[in-house]
Amino acid sequence: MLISARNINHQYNHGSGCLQVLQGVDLDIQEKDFLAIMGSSGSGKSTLLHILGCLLKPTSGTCLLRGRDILQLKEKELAQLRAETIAHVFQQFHLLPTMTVLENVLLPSLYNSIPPEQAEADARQAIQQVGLDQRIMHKPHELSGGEMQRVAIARALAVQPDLILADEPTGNLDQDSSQEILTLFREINQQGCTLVLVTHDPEIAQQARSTRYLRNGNLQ
Amino acid sequence: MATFNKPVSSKQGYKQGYQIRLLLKTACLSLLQHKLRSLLSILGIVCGIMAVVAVIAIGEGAEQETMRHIEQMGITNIYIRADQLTEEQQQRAKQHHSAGLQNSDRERLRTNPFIRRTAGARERTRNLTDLPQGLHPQLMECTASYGDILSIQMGLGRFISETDRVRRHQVCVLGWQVAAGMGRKGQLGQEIRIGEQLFLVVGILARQDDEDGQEKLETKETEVTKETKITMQNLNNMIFFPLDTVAGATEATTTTAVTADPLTGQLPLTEILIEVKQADQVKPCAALLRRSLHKAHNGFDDFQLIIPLELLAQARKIQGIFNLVFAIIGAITLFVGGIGIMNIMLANISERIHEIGLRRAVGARPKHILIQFLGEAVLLTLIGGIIGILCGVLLASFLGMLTGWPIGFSLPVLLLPLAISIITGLFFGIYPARKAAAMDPTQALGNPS
Repeated sequence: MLISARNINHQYNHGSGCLQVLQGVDLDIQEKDFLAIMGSSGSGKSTLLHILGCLLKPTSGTCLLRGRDILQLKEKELAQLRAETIAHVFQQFHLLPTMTVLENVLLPSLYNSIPPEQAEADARQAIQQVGLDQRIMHKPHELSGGEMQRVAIARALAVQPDLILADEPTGNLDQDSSQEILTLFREINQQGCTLVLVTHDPEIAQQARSTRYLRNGNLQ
Repeated sequence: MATFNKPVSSKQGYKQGYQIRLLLKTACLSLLQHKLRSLLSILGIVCGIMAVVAVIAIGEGAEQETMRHIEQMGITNIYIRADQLTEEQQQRAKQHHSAGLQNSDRERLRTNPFIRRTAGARERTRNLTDLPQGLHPQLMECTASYGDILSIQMGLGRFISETDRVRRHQVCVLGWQVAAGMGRKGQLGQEIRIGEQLFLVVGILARQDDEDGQEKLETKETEVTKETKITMQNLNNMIFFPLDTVAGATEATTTTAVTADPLTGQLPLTEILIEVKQADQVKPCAALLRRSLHKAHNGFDDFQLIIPLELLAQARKIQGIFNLVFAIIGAITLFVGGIGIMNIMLANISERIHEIGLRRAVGARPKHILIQFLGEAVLLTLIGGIIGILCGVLLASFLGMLTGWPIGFSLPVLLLPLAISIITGLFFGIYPARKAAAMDPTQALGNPS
């Protein structure tokens, strides 16, 4: 078992009150799984993904990563997990505009323990894997939306993570580009990487091996 | 791909170098992305550092010049200068039976146990015949010890001796400029004429240069306080005679005529030089001299004591105040410049909020974000500081050329502003950097839903 989350609750406190987003969520993710989490906008999909990605601590509950409760970890240990074990792919790509494709893919190596030469070799291999080896020195504004998302996937792959969390990865892409990205995700999963994909689109969710639905803060 | 053995680098220092290089590159790219904005934001720092460099350079030049003049006068020396009296003051001097500074005063002071030696000097205004045009030497009668106390260096021959004074030998010693200007007539063994008197040239002084190698062509005045001006004699343009050898019972001064003492028949001295044995004895010795002369002149103080050691302390105090005032002005300018840097860094952080979220998502800890943005603020002020130093050096050099002020550049003049610019960057960059470091990564990436 890669991840085992139990009774996850999360609420956002606002000035006027609080908003309960997740209510008693239980979730198990097996090694090499490809899971899609579906839900409408505001259902708490991204919040759940941020909790699984060690970016956000839930209000209550337990979340075990290979038997280790990530909610008990200190910031330094959480940062190390984010740098070496868990990778994110975002809807808005979040590429740094002043950097080249290679530099963007190398960004996580700033914060992990991989030696620079190996990090660069891994980055080049990841770029090749997503089919952008001809665009390695290009800046993000010189790429199409689909290419930018592939750079973001290469950035995730370069650290050779155990888990990739993708938040609406095709949300900003046309149908062809979306299909390319999903094909890429399937390949990555077939190579042994666990994938959790959040979407509100049933067609995209169908590409995953299993699908869960988040409604009113509950996972079904 | 599920499980990888994560390699742990044994070369932590190498990894850190890689991290610093990438962070520096990010910082440079970020600043270059908004070139005009970055340039405008460092203008305050440039102006502040430029002012600091120019002021320190000018202040240091002035300080070096003043200190050198004072030190040339001798730290263990005391100068007793005769006041130039108005007619009214001369009447009062007569009422007190004071004949001004006399050689007898010098003889009396020599018995003081603090004193190593004394010298007497009298400025004379006489016309020399056969002088080339444009040569206006200053004439000075003095005792033999005058040369010793002022450490006057001889080029050729000898200085005035005690025998010359006692036996009233009609000899003279020429300054380098006077000897050169007189040509053959200014050589050893030649004679110069003052009225009916002929004086044998027995010595020529060595050329007296400033420390920077410039010949001292003019008599320089260094104003230390409002009341006291130290006159640095231009030894190159002087002719020395033994005391009491140049004829004439009156002497014109700038205010009135000085006449000889009816009792001794001698003109008053212009100056008595005292060399004290040890520097720590200068102050008590000066107090004794003042009391002794006050008593000898029957309570009429027609003289003033100039103590280089005190002038040195005063000059340092004044320099300290000067430095403080300009340090405050520089600090205010840098404060304003620093606020500009803080403002631009806050704007930078607002624009790069997603970048902060992304960096946190790929493993950056708050301290990495803090170092990154603090580094960018320091880089900005450092660039401003370097430009400011260059502009300050140019400004100080230009002012020096325009006004003739001495300019002093030293390593501290260049390193201190650089350190100040780094400190300004750290001080004004810490708030924006901490704000960025404290940002919630999920908020920075965009509110999750």
